[in-house]
Amino acid sequence: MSIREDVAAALTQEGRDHLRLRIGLVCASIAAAIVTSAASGAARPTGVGVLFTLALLAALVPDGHIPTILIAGHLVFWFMTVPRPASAAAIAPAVVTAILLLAVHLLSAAATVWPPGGRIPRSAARRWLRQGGAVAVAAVAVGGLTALLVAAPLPAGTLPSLAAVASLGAGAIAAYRLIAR
Amino acid sequence: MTVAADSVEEDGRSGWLPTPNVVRAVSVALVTMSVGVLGRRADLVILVLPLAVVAAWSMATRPRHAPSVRTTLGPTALPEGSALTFTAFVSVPAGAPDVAIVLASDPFFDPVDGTWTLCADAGPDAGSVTLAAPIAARRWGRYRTGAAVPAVTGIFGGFRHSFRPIGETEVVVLPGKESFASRTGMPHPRGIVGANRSPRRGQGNDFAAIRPYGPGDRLARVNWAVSTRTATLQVSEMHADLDTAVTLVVDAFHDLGSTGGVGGAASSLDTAVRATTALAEHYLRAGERVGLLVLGASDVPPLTARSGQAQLRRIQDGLARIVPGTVRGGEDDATGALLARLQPGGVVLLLTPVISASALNRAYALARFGHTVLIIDTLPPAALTAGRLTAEDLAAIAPFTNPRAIPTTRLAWRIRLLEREGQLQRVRASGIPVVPWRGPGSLDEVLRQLQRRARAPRVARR
Repeated sequence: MSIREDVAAALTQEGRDHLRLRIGLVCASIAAAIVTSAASGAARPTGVGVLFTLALLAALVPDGHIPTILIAGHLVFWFMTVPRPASAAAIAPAVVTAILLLAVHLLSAAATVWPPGGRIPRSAARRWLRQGGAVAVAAVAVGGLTALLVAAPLPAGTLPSLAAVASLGAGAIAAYRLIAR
Repeated sequence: MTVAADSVEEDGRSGWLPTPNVVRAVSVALVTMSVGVLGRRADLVILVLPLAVVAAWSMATRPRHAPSVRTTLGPTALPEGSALTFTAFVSVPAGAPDVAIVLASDPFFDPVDGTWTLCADAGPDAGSVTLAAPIAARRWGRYRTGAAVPAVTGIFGGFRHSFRPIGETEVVVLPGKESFASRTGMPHPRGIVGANRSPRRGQGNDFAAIRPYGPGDRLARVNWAVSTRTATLQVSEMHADLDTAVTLVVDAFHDLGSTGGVGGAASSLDTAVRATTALAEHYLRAGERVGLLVLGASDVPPLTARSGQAQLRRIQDGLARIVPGTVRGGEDDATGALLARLQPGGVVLLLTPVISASALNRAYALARFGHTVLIIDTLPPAALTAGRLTAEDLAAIAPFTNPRAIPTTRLAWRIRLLEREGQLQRVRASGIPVVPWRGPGSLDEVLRQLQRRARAPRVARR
């Protein structure tokens, strides 16, 4: 059996639905990298190439740590290349990238929930889409609020920052207790 | 119909474990938000906000009760080519909508739907779902199958409840029948009742002669037309109808050739087993007594010749137990002892690829003891042309590990075929007919010759 036949057999075993999930993961990741590159104002072929490679690896092994590394890579890429948003319009790429990263996360999660070779029930696919859509709408709404705040910045202060860090700490503790229970 | 059942029921919330998905969402969201807050980067907070929402949603809807699974697999005895059904009844609590079951694949079972994975959507509320997978059995034999791993997952795949694996169930796949029919009777009818014409006169249906009426003759046998012509009372004399003990002997010392199950390639043992089933069904339906002996395989009890349809089921069950080449010395002796106890005059049909010298020696011994022995050659026709065999087919006949051994193996098989041809000529010269199995009518001509030979006078050893 040739390598091409081996690959064809492996893809057939994965199932059509699983292949769609994995292709979607790669596409969402590439789109997020392109949006980030565009938001940075310069072409970043190295960063996009690294993220594309990571996306391929994540599509091959969606149930390991590679999807986490991929999302972290996207965030580092954004942090390193995109300047702090100075206007309300500069928030839009962040919202789009956030939705694309959400898609990467959900597609890799779905690939671990539904075993390869299986047919994903249409009702389940619709439910995932509906719930993911609700999260995306929330992200757009918060992005809109943030854009307003960027347009009319609040005075900086130590107290709001401390409150934000404290709430994040409390959230981390709550999350740990919920997960570890 | 017998159906095997298994159930898995686990209690407690501790069975719900966080998946890498929820850990990823929480860790990435918290770290990035912290960096965003400390570095005054609102865009970073927006980037991971959806992940934070997904993590919060997953944790808020974490299921509180354990699910349960009950599975059935049946029927546990079925003919090859037909399907058994794996059914799982899954009860899920609220917040655990995604149900998946992965069945262990088996080379001689094919899922009818084309997948070993079953998926279902139980919905957000507590409820139950039923998943069913019809599985086609492709080859005769005894198998342990039906192992499965079920998993139930929470919203967004955040928490998963993994069960202990569902165990295997023994399934007996009875051999299917090759089509077979014969219009020829048996050469040595010896029993009490049956469908074969006996050389002796009796109360059968086949006309034998007309003779003068004698004391004890039934009035119904009086031939009035002849009696009127001859002016003396004449009766029609009939041949007796008798049955024969047919012993089917399967050579399971070797299984040669690749096997693809029903509709695919047939190995020598596939052909032998299916032909044995067809012969048994045919002769049992014809009223003969049929027995079964398997050479070269352990755990197959010999069956003495009996009549009736129940015997067919016994024979099929015995054939399904065959694992080739598993015989040990003592058991082979036991089979030899049973062969020696066969009543002389019976018909022995030996189904063999004519590779094992031991099987041929049995045939010689049986013929010497007065049995009518007929060898049915079950070697796949493709194996007879060593030069045209593909590497896979050659490996199925003579396994090799190094591809460079293919030419040597092919040459060795060619030499073995020449030896085999010589053995077959010696067998034929000793008076044992050999016919290749070709389905309907395979045995007609040779049985007719055996009948003629049985009627002819011969010298008996005293």
